Amino acid sequence: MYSNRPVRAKETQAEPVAKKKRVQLGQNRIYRLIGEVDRPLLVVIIALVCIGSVMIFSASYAVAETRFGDSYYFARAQIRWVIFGLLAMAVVARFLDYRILKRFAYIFYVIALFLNYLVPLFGETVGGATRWFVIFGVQFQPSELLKFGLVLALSTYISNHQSEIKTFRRGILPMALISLPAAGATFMQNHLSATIIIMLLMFSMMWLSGTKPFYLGLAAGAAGAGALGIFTFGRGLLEKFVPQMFTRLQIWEDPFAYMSFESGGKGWQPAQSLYAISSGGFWGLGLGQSNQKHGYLPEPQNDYIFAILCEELGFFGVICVMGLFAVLAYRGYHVSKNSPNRFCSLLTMGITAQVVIQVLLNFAVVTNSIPSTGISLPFFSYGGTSLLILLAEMGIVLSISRYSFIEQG
Amino acid sequence: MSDKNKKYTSSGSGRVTVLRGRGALLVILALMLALCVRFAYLQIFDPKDYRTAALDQYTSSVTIPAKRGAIYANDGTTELAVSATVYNCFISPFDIENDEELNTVANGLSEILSVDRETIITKGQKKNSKYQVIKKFLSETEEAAVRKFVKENSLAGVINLEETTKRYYRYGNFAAHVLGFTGTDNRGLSGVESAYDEYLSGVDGKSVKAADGYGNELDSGVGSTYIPASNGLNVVTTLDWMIQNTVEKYIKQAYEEHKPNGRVQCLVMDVNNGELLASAIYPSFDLNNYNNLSEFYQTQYDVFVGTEDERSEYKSKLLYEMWNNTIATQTYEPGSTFKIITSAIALEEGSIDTVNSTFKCGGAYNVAGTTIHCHRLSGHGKQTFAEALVNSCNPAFIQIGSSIGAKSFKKYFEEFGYTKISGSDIIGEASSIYYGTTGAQFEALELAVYSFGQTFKVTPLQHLRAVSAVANGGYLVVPHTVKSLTDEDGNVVRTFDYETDRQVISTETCNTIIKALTNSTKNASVSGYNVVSKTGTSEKRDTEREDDYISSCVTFAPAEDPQIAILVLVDDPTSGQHYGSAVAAPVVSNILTEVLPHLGIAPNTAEEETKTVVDYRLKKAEAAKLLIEKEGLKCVIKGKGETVVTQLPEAGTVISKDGVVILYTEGTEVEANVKVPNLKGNSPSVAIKSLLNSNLNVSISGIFNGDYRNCEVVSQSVPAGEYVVPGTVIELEFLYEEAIE
Repeated sequence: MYSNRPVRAKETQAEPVAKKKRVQLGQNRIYRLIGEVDRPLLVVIIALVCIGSVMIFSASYAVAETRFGDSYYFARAQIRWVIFGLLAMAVVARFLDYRILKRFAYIFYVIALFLNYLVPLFGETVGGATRWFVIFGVQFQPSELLKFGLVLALSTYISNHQSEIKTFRRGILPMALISLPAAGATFMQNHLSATIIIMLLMFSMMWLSGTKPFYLGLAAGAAGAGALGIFTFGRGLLEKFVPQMFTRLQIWEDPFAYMSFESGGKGWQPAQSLYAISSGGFWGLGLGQSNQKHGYLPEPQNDYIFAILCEELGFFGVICVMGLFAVLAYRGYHVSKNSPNRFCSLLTMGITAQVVIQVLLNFAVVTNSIPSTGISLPFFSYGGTSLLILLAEMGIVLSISRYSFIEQG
Repeated sequence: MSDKNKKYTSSGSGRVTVLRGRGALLVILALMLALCVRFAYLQIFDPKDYRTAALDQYTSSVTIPAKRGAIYANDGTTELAVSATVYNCFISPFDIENDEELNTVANGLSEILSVDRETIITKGQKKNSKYQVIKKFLSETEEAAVRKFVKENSLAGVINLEETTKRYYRYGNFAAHVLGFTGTDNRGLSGVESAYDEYLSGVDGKSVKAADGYGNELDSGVGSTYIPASNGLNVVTTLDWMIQNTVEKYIKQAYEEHKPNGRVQCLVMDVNNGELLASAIYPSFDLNNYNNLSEFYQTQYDVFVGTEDERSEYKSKLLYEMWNNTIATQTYEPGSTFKIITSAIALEEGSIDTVNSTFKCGGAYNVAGTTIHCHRLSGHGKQTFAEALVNSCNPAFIQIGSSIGAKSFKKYFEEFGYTKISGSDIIGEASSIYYGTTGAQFEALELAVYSFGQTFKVTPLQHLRAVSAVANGGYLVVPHTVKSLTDEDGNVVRTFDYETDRQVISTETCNTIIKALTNSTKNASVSGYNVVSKTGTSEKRDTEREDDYISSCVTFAPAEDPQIAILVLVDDPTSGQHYGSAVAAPVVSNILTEVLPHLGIAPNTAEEETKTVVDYRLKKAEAAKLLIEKEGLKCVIKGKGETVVTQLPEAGTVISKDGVVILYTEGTEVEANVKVPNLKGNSPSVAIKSLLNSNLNVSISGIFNGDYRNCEVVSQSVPAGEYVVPGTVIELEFLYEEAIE
């Protein structure tokens, strides 16, 4: 289906082998050749999905065997979603017209918001947090939709208000107003990591939209100074008013001190993650050879799956996966740069940013570089619906990549 | 891309997004690089060594306890002490869910294990504990019942059994003081158990296993090692099961008969190599319950009045006393039994001789202004050395001691090992108390008193060792309780060799003493055997009472070739008798009567070596001849008649079993026509053969147990050259060479 090289405008006369289609875009009578998807991006995505699937099985079989007596429990479920997700990606990449997305952007966002505000009322509680809906036996986390919805809504707003974006009233303020309900929804779900991602996404979109660096610098400076202030001087206050945060901070500083059952055991997972990562060495213990997944690192198929990869494939594996994500980021930028319009450009960058932010945060968490918070690793962590949404988003990027060739009518 | 003008990104706001996107990309790549550094820090450098910490959490080390070796009797097969796997029962109060469950546990366990229910409840209420021992060393029935109870009530994890080993002593009291016992940690605390602990205990092994977080074995097997336990070696003691039992039986009997204030102790030693065949003390204790006072001590404890602390202190004191192997750890004054040694010194030094030296005893003797009485106040009169020794005459021994002189006496006193511990493998041998340790001068009076075994104190072990040197021909051996170590398959892996060639006196001296003392103590005699005994009745001078004695008897047997030496001590008998010959000697006799046949020492067959001639007169000559020959005797018929009218020797005469009977038929005269040969200086076999060939009978004396070596005829009842009738019994007296001098 994607076997041929993208067809360039110049080459059209030379009897291109690819299918081509003329599409009339708007009233500008700009005609655009629908080419093939960005192949490096596609390769990277498929590579990540493959490695992710293998790692899901490797990381989960011990815990699956213990918990369900079926070592394929997680792997089988995930593979179904992988197939489903890849199909969705292919369909989206092939058939989606981004203009439809733009048209329904706000509605989509409002629905996503609505669903998220319903979660605390009707959601499923897992591990003390209410973040899921269960529909026909399928667990589904609406915050995944919300992140995409926010990127979509902000892209739409920015592309519609390009000229005023440098002002505070038309630039900063509306974007913040659009984002805050999303942040609020996740905050109500007690889903701190999602809130952080949403704030970072908002910040990224503001940055990409071209708002004045002054405001962003001010916000970033304030956030940094605040964090530093709390960390250095505000510990007493933190302990007094937000004890959970304070505990989290203490665990981050020395997870090994909080491993025991008596001390609450909250340091166990980050500590075991460090053990797993260090045990890997340069070449790793070999695929499937992790010891940590055998009942030491809890839920090895979820947020901490990368620690198992570190243990089994070593630093070498880390470099490879990091490289794939770097290429993903670069190709996202590349597609964005070559996209037909500002909406596509922003949407592509937003989706790319969303993935990369999660990857960076996840890596920072597993290495205990930042305090532990529940951030899953895209393409790797267990979770069918989030993978489906992720691959659908990738499909959007791929779809946009097909519009990267412009031809005057 | 070639056509930049046509792209929206080439200018305006689109360009801003691309430029800012490029900036964002750079930030992302920078952050990725930073994270790579972080990963490299953890994975390649691992400065905090999480790798080892991770390994540590997988692996757990389990000690594989080495099996403690067994202790065997000297046959190498009779088990005296063995280790067996048993179980302790403990509960985990942490895992008890509620009071109801605790009730179930308490009711069940108190019934099965006969443990107080309240005790279990109290232990069960220690909520944070996971280990509260309810009962140790469960019996097999208890163990099975607990397992069943746990299964029926689903109490796994609440009630637990843990494997441990327990030392079993097959015969309880058997040689308790020699064998010793082990503590709860399975290490020897006393006796052989302690002295040979390093061999018995073996080396614990270690199993390091990697387990996953659920406790199952980790597939990768990372960090696993297995070092097998090296089981302890078995110890083969020198104790003879039968002899030890016999000794214990008779010392108990003696204890009950004489009700001594102190103990009855007995030591049996192989005189040739120092192996202790038996070593017993009564009252004893049960090795399987060594922390319980045995009856004798419990009685003392029961009547003790004091505070709780004083009582517990007193109990400890009694326990130590009960465990104390006084044969090696306590000294006593050997008394008259020491006269054997004084005699040996005098003979060896030549200060007296057996023939010419005589000793006068008038019932008392004055040494350096001090009068010392003989036990026979009327005195023994004039005695030879042998008589003085048998009489146990103190004045005679004062004279013998004086003839030796202090310098020589001291020299031999040391050579007989009295000044040093014996070097045995018994822990805690006491040092003797003598002139060297007391710092007292050693002059005429001291020498006189030492000569009959008073005023110095030695351990029974030291004394028997010295006496054994006289028994075995002069060699000082080292007494010991263990002879070898064997592995699990019974192969001997080590034998313990002790010096046996340290000669302190000559064999001749020994033989002279043996001859003088053979069967001298009637009470210690053993029918069918010749034994060498010396009794002793020593005053205990360190007590206030006047009549506090230690009655003892030292004996070695058989006299012909001593194999074992035995020492019996009765400490302060209260039966009204206190002489060693009355109290201790019968014990020796009883023990040896059973022990000597057990050792394969044949009794003297003097009676069976002879035949008593019956009356053959008026019988048909040929029929009588058949009867005589059937008896194994030689028969000679004189005359041609049919009926026997006269016979020589006469009916009722005792002749040797290979003797001759001459039958005379009617009409035959008895003639004294046999010339007696000169047999002096001949060896027994030559002399006897010579007589039998001349149709003469022989009767021998002076031969110990048929031993014909080193002896010759010293006298014959009919002088050489005389004529006697055939069949006459000629008595021959033999003397062993060393006694001829």
